[in-house]
Amino acid sequence: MNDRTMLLWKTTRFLAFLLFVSTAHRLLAADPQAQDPFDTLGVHGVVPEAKTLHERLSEHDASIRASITKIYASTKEIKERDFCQLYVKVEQYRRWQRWLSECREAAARDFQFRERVYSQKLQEIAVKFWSSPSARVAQQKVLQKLTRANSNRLKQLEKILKTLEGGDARRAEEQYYQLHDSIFSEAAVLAATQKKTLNEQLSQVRGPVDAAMVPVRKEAAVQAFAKDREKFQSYCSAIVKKLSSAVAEHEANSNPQGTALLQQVCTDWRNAHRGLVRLATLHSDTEKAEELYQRILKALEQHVASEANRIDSTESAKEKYHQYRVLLADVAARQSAPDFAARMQTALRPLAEKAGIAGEVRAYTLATTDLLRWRSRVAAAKARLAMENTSTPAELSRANLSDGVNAVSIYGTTGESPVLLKAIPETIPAIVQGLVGKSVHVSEVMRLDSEAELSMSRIRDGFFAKVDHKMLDHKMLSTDEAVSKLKRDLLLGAQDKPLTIEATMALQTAVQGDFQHAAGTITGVSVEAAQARMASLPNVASRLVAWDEVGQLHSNSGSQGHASQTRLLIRLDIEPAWVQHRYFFVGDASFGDTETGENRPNSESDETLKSSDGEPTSVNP
Amino acid sequence: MPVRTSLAEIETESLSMKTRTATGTGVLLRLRCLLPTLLCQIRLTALACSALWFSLAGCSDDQQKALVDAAKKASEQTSEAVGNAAEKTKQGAADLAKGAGELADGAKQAAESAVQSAAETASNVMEQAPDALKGAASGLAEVVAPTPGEATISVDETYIFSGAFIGLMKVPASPGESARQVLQVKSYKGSEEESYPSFFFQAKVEADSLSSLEGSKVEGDLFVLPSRDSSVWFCDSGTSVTIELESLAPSGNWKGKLTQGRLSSTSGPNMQVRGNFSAVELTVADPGLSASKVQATTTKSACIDPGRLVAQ
Repeated sequence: MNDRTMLLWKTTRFLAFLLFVSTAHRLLAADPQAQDPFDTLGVHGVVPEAKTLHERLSEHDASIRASITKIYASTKEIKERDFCQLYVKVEQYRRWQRWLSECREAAARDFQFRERVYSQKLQEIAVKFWSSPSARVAQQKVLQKLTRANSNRLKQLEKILKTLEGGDARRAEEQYYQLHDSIFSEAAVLAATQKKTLNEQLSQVRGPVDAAMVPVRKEAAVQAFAKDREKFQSYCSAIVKKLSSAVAEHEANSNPQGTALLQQVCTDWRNAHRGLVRLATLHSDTEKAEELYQRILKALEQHVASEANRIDSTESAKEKYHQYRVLLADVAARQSAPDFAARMQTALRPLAEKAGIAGEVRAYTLATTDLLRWRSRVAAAKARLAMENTSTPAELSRANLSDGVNAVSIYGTTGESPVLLKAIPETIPAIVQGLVGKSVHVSEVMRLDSEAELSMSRIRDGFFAKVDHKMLDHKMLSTDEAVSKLKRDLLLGAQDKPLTIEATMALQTAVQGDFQHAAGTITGVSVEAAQARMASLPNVASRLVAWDEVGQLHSNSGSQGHASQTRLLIRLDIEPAWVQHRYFFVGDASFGDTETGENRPNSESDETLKSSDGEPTSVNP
Repeated sequence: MPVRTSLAEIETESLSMKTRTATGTGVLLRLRCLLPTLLCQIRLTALACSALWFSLAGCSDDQQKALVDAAKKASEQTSEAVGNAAEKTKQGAADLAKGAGELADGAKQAAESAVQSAAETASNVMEQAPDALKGAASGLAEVVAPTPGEATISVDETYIFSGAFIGLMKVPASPGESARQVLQVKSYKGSEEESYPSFFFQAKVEADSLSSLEGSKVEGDLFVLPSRDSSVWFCDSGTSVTIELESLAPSGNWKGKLTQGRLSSTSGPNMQVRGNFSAVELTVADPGLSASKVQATTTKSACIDPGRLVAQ
């Protein structure tokens, strides 16, 4: 391939890139919530430097793209100032991206992909610029200036080397690149041959400075990750300790605030939940997450069971029983383990006996458990049948976004979860094309809090979905009638309370709109770096990972090491066609098509969570 | 309609006892396991008799009568044998299955020709059979295995269930609300014992005891699950099934009929449902109702009233 052909190929590739991106804009224009394809991936920021670098890179990304597009679109001669600014920015972009990758951020990989494209384009623009008459004039001026400033420059470089030898590599790096950028804000006009001497001169310092900084950055990352890990381990352990000491105090009959304490513990546990997710995703510390979960569970069980020992009054025991019932139903809704509610109900038995309602609870259990079980069978059978018409996001994604199916793949050769294999501006349009408008079903859809208008499905295989509750009414999917029927089945009059955790959960989840499954049409997508998102889940969003599944987060990713750093989390916006609560099914069971059914060979997918401001929420336990 | 049990002869030579009764292969296998202990001997009697009740549904009137006589006689023999069983058990049960199935073919033929009248006749026999059992296990009544009851429900096809149980649950009222009573009829005691096909009926009622529901019609929800992973028949929104609780038979079982209603399927259109049952009343001693540290004093017509559950 000769130079001319190579240049033509590169130009075509970039034009295709721009065309692709503009297509993406059109595709996404219909949905105001759709993600801008030029959005950069967020960072988790474990290494403090990452956030600054990410901010700078994001600004430069927009700026470089605008400059390239402007120069490329113009028929006029390229201005010397514009060219030099672009040159320096691309150089800065390149080194910042390199530094960011040392911070173990997926965003660095995206910037790397983008930088390759920008560098290629800069090269093409430079060839054009150097051939212009004004450039030749500018080059002469710069060469003269460089010659005049030579001795001064050498002194500056020598000073930087001394700083480096003094052991302050960071300061040396700062000084060097300040000088470097200053020189090339003018010297960028020089052709490669003209700046050969200058480059040799500079590389005498740049080489040692860069080499010294590699271990410095690596060590900084190792320390920052170790500190982060320790911080979250301590935080989670503190909650377990708090709970254990509470149990001890109860046994000593000294703490009168059992329920308030449990309420506090439940709140703390939500925070601990975020911590466990961070440990599992960012530090691959699945063992610790699993161990802490089991310890918390055991402590909670003991705490509940010991409560009866402390209470003397029957009325007080009854009041406590109902308070615990409601609290534990909320806790149980955060589990995926089916036996959790039964386990806690057993733990509550001494309290029920002390309250004199054990027989009542028993009779209520007998009068409701079987009916609930049969209702769930009907709902599950309907959903099972309906799901034959649709795919999971992972199946759909595997079918449409694997290597060989689409020019842009999001699946590596070994990984099971989506990973970043092309720049985001290329990846997002491909994902939009492969998924938007298709039918899918998702699992475990829940409101993040009782007031939220939106529900999210639990994160599975790199995907999650957002379901708009207002859309349920709009689509004639009101669950009011089903909830009323459920209340009758639970023998609840206006004044009645459910008597068991299971019944409380049934009602709470039905009223709130937590569903086992939902299906609908994908109307939008949003992509984030999985680690950055999972490491900084907003407190309210921790429900998206079941407590007892935290330990599986990392192992389920199917990716290790560097690959795990580039995992993506993809959020789908879904217009629902049917929803299935554990005890009822509402909507069009025939929704879907067999074409999407074809898209279900064998894959898993992930879903991305985006906080309301588009940035990961910081976690400060 | 499929014949679920066949007539067979069981020879228990090691016990010098010959019991001509009805059993299926499952019963034979169970007998093999039960023989080595004294308690198993007792259970043998109960199982043999209950198996007889099932098989009678597929036999002609004469055969049924003869079988009942045979069963009574066998029960008497068994009762005697039980007294000696402890000493003789060690000799082992050599070949339980020997001779089993000799009467199976005849029973099947009889069953095919007597399918229509079988259910009614069977329920008559069921009233007699417990008496035979009582005689057989005289002095050992505390350990006689409970009878499983029976039920038949026709929707898209006729399902015959391995048992039928009935219970009335009473949940005390909250302040400002009325007490809540629930009538349940189902094919299993506890969910852990559920086998397929399976059914479950539940209705809210206003009754203090099952007896007060005798002769009345009760509307409620019915579910039928033909097999573990099949689609489910159920009462769709706004529909219900009516059952009529007919009488408490001398056997202690409550007889009832599904008199009207339609069931929807999770995989197809709705269909009319019919059926009848002879259900054993659930008590707190049953696995489906038992609770640790709870004892009860219930009578046959009593509901499961938590007010009568006494915490130890």
